Amino acid sequence: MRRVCQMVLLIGMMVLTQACATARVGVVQEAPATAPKFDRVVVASFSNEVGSSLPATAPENVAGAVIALLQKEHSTVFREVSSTRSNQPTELVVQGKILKYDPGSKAARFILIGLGAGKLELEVAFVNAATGETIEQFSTSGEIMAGGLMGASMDIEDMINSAAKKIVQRLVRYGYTP
Amino acid sequence: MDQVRKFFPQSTIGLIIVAVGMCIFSAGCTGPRQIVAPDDKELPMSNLEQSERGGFTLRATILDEKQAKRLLGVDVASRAIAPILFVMSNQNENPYLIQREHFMLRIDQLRIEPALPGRAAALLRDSSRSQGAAWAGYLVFGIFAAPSIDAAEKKEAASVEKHREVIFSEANLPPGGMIAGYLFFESPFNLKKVQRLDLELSILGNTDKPISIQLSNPYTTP
Repeated sequence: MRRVCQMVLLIGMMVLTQACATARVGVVQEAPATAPKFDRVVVASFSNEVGSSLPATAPENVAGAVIALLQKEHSTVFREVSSTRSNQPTELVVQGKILKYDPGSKAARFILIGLGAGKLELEVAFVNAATGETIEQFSTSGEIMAGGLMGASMDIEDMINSAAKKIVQRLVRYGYTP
Repeated sequence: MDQVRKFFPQSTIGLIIVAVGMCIFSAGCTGPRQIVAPDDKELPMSNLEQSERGGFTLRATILDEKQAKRLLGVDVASRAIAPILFVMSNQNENPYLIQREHFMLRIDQLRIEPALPGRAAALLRDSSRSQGAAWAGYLVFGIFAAPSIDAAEKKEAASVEKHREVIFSEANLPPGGMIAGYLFFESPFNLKKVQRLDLELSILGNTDKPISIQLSNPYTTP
């Protein structure tokens, strides 16, 4: 019985041998002191500055993750959230570039925490659609530092989701009910 | 534990563990399932989920759990995605370009547009093979499972790229022609609690009312 308990404890420890996907933000152009308000936000597909090593779905996946977060967790902040531009004057456009991508390795992360870490670097700008003025610009990144079973189950989705959270955190102050 | 040992010698227990591990491990060697191309035969036979306007006929359905598993290869309900199969025909004399953003799903008071194809393909990713291989590594094979995890991951990533091509983005609808496609909506609400879902299509200009279909939600629980 004692051995069984030890085994269960050991397996539990191994499963928990993990960190999580994290994101960082570096400001390029500071946000204005008084945030202008918009009732429509457009999150266009991000541009691929990485090349063929970036999965073809990633640019749309980043934009989609931001849209999904806005709709799920901040559904009342903007009247409309879309991926396509309209001619409305009170429209905020989220433009982004994927600058760097390192998928890391699931297999390496599985073997040992610290090995096979993955990283995704983005540059994001909030643009007033009516004037073309860039309101705020920053860089952010999503990283996987996990190990063990958890590390083997994390992939680009987790990097994208953690970066999307950072983008949404800065975006909501431009809505009417942040 | 001693009683188990009485009935099964240690070598038998070892063999069982290895056999189970092999089963999970081999999962990493087979590729993930591919999305089946959209087909109007999957639509319900009744005319309830059909709408006609200005020479266009739109039919659509929300794929139920069994259909989704069979056609898409994954359990979509647990991923909070509403998978919609639509078929549209054009009885006009002019061709039309139908785009993803022409569609909207109305859930209560909220209107959401279909997920971008790249986003939808990523949401439909089937990671069960690489996860199975990782579990096999933990239970039996240790670091020797790493190549299997690596192989499964590559196949899963390639499969996501292929899925993107199947998901509807845009299509030309010629006179007398028909198109079919999958649309995926990320519901902000739990689909089990949503009573009413309406699919809207606006291709006739902003001033016209969209073509609208009320869809029955197979995920609603009373």
